[in-house]
Parts: sequence; structure tokens; C-alpha cells
Amino acid sequence: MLKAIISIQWIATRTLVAALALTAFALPIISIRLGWGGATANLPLFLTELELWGLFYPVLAAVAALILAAATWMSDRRGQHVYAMLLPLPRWRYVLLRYAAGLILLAPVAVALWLGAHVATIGLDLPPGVRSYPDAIAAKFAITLLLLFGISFALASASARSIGIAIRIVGLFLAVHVAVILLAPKVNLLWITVRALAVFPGPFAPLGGRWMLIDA
Amino acid sequence: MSLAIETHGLSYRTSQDFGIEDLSIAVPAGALYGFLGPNGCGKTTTIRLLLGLLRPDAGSITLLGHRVPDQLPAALACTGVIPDRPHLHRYLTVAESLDFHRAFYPRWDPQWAAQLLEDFRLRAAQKVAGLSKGETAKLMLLLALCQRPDLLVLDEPMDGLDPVVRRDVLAALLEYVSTHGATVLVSSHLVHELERFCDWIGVMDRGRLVVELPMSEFRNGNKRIRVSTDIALDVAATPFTILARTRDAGSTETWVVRGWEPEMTGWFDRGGVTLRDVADLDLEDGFVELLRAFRTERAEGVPSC
Repeated sequence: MLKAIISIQWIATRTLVAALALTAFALPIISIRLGWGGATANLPLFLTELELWGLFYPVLAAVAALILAAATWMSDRRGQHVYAMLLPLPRWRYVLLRYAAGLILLAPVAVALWLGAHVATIGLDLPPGVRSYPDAIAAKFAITLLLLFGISFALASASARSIGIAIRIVGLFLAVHVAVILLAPKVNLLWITVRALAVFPGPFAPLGGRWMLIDA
Repeated sequence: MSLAIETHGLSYRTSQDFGIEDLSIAVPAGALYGFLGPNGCGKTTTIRLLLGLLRPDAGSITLLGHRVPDQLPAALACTGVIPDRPHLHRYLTVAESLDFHRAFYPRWDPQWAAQLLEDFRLRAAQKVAGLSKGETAKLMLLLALCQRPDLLVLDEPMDGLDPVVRRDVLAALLEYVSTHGATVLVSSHLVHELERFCDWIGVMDRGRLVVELPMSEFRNGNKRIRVSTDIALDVAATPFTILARTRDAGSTETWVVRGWEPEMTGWFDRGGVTLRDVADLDLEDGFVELLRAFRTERAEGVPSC
């Protein structure tokens, strides 16, 4: 069954997967090749430029996760999920199969970035104290992909009712936040929550921090 | 009599004005059950309930001995379905659709699939999105049949198809049923279509079951009779149900009756009414008169049949 789901998901998304994989492969190469002037070049400037290029990694992960999650459910949504619901398997299992297939199809994008990172850093004559981190950046990219795909997949598969409930919860939270600000201006619930989510061990921690392929 | 489909007291409200009410149907195993009713009477909603696409507000459903929705996957594993609207993945080719579908049905018959592909003149490389309405209907039937189901649930499968495609679809369906003894529940508002091959009918109107009986009983029990009478007749005293009554010229009347049996001619002799003629009613006429009588009964607050 997983093979069948992967097969139809691949047919639906192969062009997107190929384009995303190509971009993921090219990103580290371009980021290094455009700024690298050799070991004698202005290193601080190069590292600053590289840090700016680093912003593209989470953006690429977000785009890939969103596009592939949406594409995963597009056909089922068009048919109002009737085909999926008529298949002889529990619905949770179908969702799990779709999710697993989506993850498998994300793998080429992550692998392409890993390859690109290695190709970009091969043969670089790095000055002492400066190192390349192709495996680390690829791992960080893969974890970010995984995380964002999970969220996008959940949103794309959610019913209008579930999304409505989620929006109401967010709305309620914001209302509580405003009320707390008015009563105790020093307590910022929103900031506390954002920090809890975005700083390690929060679930969005991989998105933060620096994305440096080469660093001192 | 074992039942392939059984519902008890099924209720489901679709809006404030309409819903399925206390629906109890029993489809015998091996039957070709025609599910009749005018547009919007609740046939599709009932089928969606049977297939677990909707959850009933009340009542129970059993499909091939499996409770729905608790044992839905087991029920669906033995059930071929053609829903009211095409549901296939449009970006796949015909061949890819077959490959995908077969992965979920261990009883899939690849030889027959290849045969039907040829019989239906479907091109394996054609995208589903590019299929005509007739070709899509054929593909959906092919998928439903080749999984070798014990039960086929077909929601308006002939709707909008040209006669040639209808004949192809019907032939394949009947071939399967005759060789495998499967049960078929087929809904339609095309009464003549069902009359040709169904051996049971259930008629729905406004969310309720009007009648459910073997086709032979329907054919033999529903008659158009012409009578002559000079006396004021007590309609309630008749041994059959008068669905419609129209006065012709003079003292002659035409009645559409239900529950007719040949020995009832004796009642006319005793009642001072002369029976002039007894004619069969085709399914469409019987269907129309049944609905008319049902609606009159409901409007008058009389319990339905």
C-alpha cells in the first residue's frame, strides 16, 4: 500500500520534487562560489555574506514543506476525500501512509542539499580556524524540513472544522495576551510563548540560530 | 434469508428541512436491488451512510455482516463502489489508476482487468482527466468489478450515459453478478433501466422508505383495473390498496391498486362492482402512483406503508 501511495504521490509531485532538489543542490554551491575569493580574501566580509545566504535555507525548507504537503492532499481534496474514505483501511492508517510517502519524497531535497554542501566545500583552501560544516547544515535542513512538513501536512489535511477550532484557540490566546498586558504590563505572554517554541528545546529551535556552511 | 445490507431506524439530518428518517432497509444477499426515488429524495445520502462517508445520527447499519462504521474497513474490502460523482485521481493515467487501486484489494483480478480494458476500449496511457463521461463510468465500473466484491453499491451509474455505454456497463455488471452471485444495490431515478434487471426494489421519497419488495411482487401486485359501479363504494373495504382512482366516462372508473391477487376478482362479484379489465402496470407507472399515494398519505398524516 505504501508503495502505491508513494507511486501516485511521486507522479503528482515529481516536477516539484525535482525543482526543489535542484534548488537545494545549487544553494550551498552558489552561496560559496559567489563570495569565496580564496584563503587570502576578506574573511569577515565573506562570512557576513554567507550568514545572509543562510537565510535561504529555512526559507527553502518552508517552501518545500508547504508545497509538498499541499500537493499531497490536493487530489484527495478535489474529490472531497471520497476515494480515500472508500478504501478498505482505517482512515488514520491512510493519513499515516500519505505522511510517510510525503517524507520519503522530501528525502531527495534533503539529500540534494547535503550533496550540494559537500560539492561546495570540496577543495576549499580554508584558513586556519575556519571550518566547513556540510553535514551539520544538511542535518539542520533535514530536521527543519521534517518539522515544517509535519505542520504543513497537518494543516493541509485538516478539515475546515479543525482549522476553525485552531483559529479560535489562537484568537482566545491573543485575547488572553491582551488582557494580561492590560492588567500586568510587564508580563508578555506572546513573547514567552514564542521563546518557548523557538529556543531549544522548543520544537521550532532548528529554525533559529545561524545557518553557516563555513564558520570561524 | 441472509442479508447483504441491513439498516434499522437510520436517521440523519442534512438540513433543518430534510433528513433521512427512521430508515430500515433489508437487501437480501444475491439480490439485484434497485433503489428508486426522485431526485433529492435521499438515495445518495443513504448510500453515503451505508458506506461510512457520513455518520448517522441514530440507527444501525450492517454491511455483509460487518457493523458500520465500527468495522468499516472489513466491509469496504468486499464492496465495490461507484459513487455519484467521479472520485478518481485525475492526474493519473488509466493504467496508473488500476495499479493504485489493486494495491488495496487482495482479490484483484488482473486478467479480467486487462480484458475489460479491452472490452471497454479504454487506453491505458490516457489520463483520467482526459476521459469522457462514459469512459470515466466504465473505468469506475472496471475498478469496482475487478476487486471481486461480494457487494456492489452503485449510485446512479447510468446517469448521463449514452445508450451504447449504458449497454456496455450493464452487460459487464450482469456478467459479474451472474458468475459470482454478488449482491448489487443500484440507485437510479431512471425507472425503466432498473426494471430490466432488478429483482428487488426499494422506493424512497423525502427521506423515507415508501416500499421495499421483490420485483415480481411489485409487478404482480400493482395493477391498473377498470371497473363499473353504480353504488357509492366503501374504498376502505377493498382487499387491496387503491393508490389512484379516476372517473372515466359514465359509471366507469380506473383504479391503480396495490396488493392485487388474482383471487380478488371474487370481491367484485360480491360488492356489486363489475370488473372490466385488469392490466399490468410497468415499473414507472407503479413508481409514480406509489409516490403520489405516499405523498397524499403524509400530507393527510396517515402512517406510511
